[in-house]
Amino acid sequence: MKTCTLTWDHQNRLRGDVAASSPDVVILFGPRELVAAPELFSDFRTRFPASHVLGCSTGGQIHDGVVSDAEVVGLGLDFAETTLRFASTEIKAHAGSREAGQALGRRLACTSLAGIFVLADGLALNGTDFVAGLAEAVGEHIPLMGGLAGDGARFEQTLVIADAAGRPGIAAAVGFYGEAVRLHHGHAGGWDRFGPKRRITRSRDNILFELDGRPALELYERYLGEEAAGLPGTGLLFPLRIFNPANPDHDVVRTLLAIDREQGSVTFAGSMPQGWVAQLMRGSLDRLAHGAGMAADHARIPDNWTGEGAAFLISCIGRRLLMGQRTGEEVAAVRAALRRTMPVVGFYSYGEISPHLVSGFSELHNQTMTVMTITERAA
Amino acid sequence: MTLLHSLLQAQIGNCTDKSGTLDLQSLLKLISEAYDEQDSDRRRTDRSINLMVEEIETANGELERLLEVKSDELTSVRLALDAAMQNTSQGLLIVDAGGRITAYNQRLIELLAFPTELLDRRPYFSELLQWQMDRGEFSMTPEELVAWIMSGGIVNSPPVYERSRPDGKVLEVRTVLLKEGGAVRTFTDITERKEQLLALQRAEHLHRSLFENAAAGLFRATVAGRLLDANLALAQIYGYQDVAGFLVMANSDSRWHAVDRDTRTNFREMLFASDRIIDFVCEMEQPGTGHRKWISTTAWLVRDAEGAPIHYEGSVTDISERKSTEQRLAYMATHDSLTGLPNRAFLMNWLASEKGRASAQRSITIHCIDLDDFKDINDDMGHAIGDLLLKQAAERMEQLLSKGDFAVRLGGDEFAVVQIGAKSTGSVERLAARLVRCLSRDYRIGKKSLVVGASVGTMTNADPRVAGEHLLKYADIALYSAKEAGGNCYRLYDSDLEARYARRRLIETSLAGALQRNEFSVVYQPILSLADGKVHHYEALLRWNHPTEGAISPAEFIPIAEQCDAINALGELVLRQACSSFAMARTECSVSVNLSPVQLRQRGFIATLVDTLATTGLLPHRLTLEITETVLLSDNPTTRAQLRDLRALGVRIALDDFGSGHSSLAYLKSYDFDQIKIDRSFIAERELSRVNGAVINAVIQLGRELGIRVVAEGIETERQLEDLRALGCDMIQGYFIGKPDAREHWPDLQPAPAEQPGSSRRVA
Repeated sequence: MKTCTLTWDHQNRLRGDVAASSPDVVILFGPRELVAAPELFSDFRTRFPASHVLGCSTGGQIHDGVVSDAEVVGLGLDFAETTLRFASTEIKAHAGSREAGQALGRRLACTSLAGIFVLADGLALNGTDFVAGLAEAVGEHIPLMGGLAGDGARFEQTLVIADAAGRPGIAAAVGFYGEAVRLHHGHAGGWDRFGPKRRITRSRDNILFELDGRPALELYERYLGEEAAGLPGTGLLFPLRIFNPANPDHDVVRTLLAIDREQGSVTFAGSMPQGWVAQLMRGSLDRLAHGAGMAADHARIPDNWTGEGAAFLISCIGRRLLMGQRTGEEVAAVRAALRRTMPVVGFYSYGEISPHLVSGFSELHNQTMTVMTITERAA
Repeated sequence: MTLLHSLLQAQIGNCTDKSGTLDLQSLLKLISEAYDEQDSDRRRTDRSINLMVEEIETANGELERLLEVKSDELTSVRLALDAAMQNTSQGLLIVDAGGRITAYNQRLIELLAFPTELLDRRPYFSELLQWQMDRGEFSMTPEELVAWIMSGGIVNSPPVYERSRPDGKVLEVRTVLLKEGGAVRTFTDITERKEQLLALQRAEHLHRSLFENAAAGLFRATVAGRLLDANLALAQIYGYQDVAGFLVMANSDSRWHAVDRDTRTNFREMLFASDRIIDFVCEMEQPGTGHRKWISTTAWLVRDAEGAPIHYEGSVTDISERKSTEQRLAYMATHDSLTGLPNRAFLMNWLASEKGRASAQRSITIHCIDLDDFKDINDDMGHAIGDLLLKQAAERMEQLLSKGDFAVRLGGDEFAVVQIGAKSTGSVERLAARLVRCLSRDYRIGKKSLVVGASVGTMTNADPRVAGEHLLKYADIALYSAKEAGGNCYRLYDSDLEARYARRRLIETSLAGALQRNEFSVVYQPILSLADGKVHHYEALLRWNHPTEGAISPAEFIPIAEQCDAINALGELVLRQACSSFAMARTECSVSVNLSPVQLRQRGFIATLVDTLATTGLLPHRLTLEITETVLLSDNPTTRAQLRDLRALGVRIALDDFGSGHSSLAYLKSYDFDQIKIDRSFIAERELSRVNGAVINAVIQLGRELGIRVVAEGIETERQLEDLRALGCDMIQGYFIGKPDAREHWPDLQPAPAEQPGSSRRVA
């Protein structure tokens, strides 16, 4: 497997190790404005006529050990043996998230499928349902990795590039087939739970109305204090840990996506089942960075592995918001854990997709650093 | 160079361009922003902590409050539980997971006689069992159960079992295992329940036994009529030996059904109207075979508490026999058992019915038949022989009948033959004549040959207005006419007979009471002795003064009295009065009393006579009994014996009306007579005719030879007297000598003044 790292911006256009042979797929991440620009796609298409182009808008790009906002970063993957298949689907409605995942999955399902990298519109769908539908279609044991497109801290519009200029309302994925490819993954949160456990007393899908009979928004406003004016963005500072009281060990972390002042409700990036238990979380820089390092550890390619690889980092916009200038520390932690020679790209998303380290089933994560490494055995 | 903070390093790096120039302003800005971020972060943290502390305090307060509430609740529950435990009628024992007794109630102590101290120290369950075992608690329990109880501890106990305690109580022991381990055990005293169950079973058994073994058929049926239950007796009525088989048949199409189609409807109407039916009689038929049975059903409806009918039940008896008995009785009521002929009741019914109504096209003739002298046969030969004769007579009658006619036995030796639709008087008379002839032929009974006569009275009616019963009356009158004519003949009814019949009936019916009413009197007629011209003898004669008819002549009523058996009483009256009068008379005159053959035939006659003589004190030789020839006609050894006995008493016997009947002189040979009374017919003319005179002369001579006195009756003139004297007659009697008159009239017969020694009066 061969890789080439690429960048793009309005001034300099497509730059990078373009001399590399034609990659099978080019994966790129960029700020919304740039991803929306038709020139971006046309440049890539011109340069790589035979490649699939997959990408999305973000809340920040990761390139090597650095986080930036100004440019588009990308990675081209050229496989020797592994075959790829590309698919995209429209997300007709929020309620059709599961169906969208299933539709996408049906196009990629195959006995030799080794794994899938998927990007989807971050605002238009229910991430939990979408991932569940996709897993249903391809099989629960297939590792699904990827994330939901972001839009900085604005939460206005998220775009996905699927062999076309960036558009909202779609999901796209590439499947890797064959014996040669290897995918490793890891994720970690690093957020600390604090305060009392509360019961989700009223919710619908991913909209939380009430906790312990009080409006959910009220809780956030209280804890955010002076920072409440920055909702929904500042809501990222207090993710919510939720779990089924019958299964207290299997918890998930949810990211706030939107608020409704009238309803007093808060919308999250995943399902908020009524009757589940919720607990606020807060972040500490050190632990977040440490967590990122742990995630990278899980995704390491074994030392005895010969062959090139690449790493994708998909972290959560909430972490970036918290860590501020020191966001780089978590990326650096990942960088340090992985092979020096391995290219690392990624983005800050509205939702991360990765197999759960405990259960093995692919899920939507929030406020999480997910690391995926992909490699092909040496010929 | 000191190691710089990584952030500062990064910031410196970000603000240094490619040429290495540091943009200080940007750097300072970044540093400032970093401080701001830290401040925000710190404030955020403080805020979080404070809010958290607040929330925790609130939550704690809430928890404490909840705890208090829960504690109170728990206490209430505990109290309630304790109360429940103590107040339940069951003994309770709670064992924890470790096998220790943790709770018990007072009732347990009562039931099982545990000492409280034993349970209070929370022993192991196994200890408790052992304690019980040692005290013989399980002495009444079967060994296998005891082994089971002792073996597995409370967890492996059988979930429910019963056992008897040494004190006689029966306990039901239940064990419920608890989810967390341990168990709850309850003990219920079921002694009473068990006793009730036993009593119930016994009662059930008794009732069942009664039901099964009852002689009458018993059943229970649904309201719709479907048979639910039956006993063996009922099954047997219908020819089944098992109840099950019977029930199947009874509810199938091959069940017996009522012959009368309305039976079922009637039965149900009556049952549901009054809830009870008693003795519902109906005839049942078996389909296929056509066998029939009469049954009587008594049934009652059973209702529930709201009054709705649930089912009905009852008993069934096979009354086929009763029915046939009824039918037989009905037959017997209208038929004569001896001859098999219909009886008087039958005839009366028939005559009263439509069939008994005559019309011009269909005359009805009744022949009333009486067997002459049958009474003699019955008396002499006995009833057995008499019955056989009657049977034969009946058979003979039936053989003479045409189709449609029938014979009837009216009673005794009286019969009737009904002849329907005779074409002419001739055919009627022919039948009557044939009846007479046929019935008077010899009857062969055993070795004997018997003869009776037959009298027939016949009446024909073609007038529908004449009631049937009257027909019989007319035929009866005609019969009496035939009898009067001497019997052994037939007479047709004519209206003259009516009057005579009426008279006869009158006499017959009056006779019985006449004696009680003292309408009879005895009168005496003197008999003159021609030798000395004095009266030494009187004849006693019966006189009847009927209240409405006046004097009725003996010639009329005596024969009737003889026929209806009143003669004995009358004869006894005459005898007694005569003996009494003459015994008390001042003279030694003798009295003659007429004796009816009927009297003589009476078995106790001699005894009565002896008694009369003894009672009155009359010496036997002063009594003469006058008998007529008819007595001697049958030549009966009994008669002869009786006459001999009479003479042996000292009583005189006179043969009356000599010469009026068969007059066999041979009688004089066979019997000893003291007197012969020549019938008045020989004295009838003013002067004796030559023939009569010759006869009288012969008789007188005969009498003289034999030592028999001769009396001539009916003397009414002096000439007759002289004639008889000339002939040498001993005594004469007649109006010329004296008319019969009461005793008071005759001086001879007045009572003697006082007792005299040597008188003929005997001390009674």
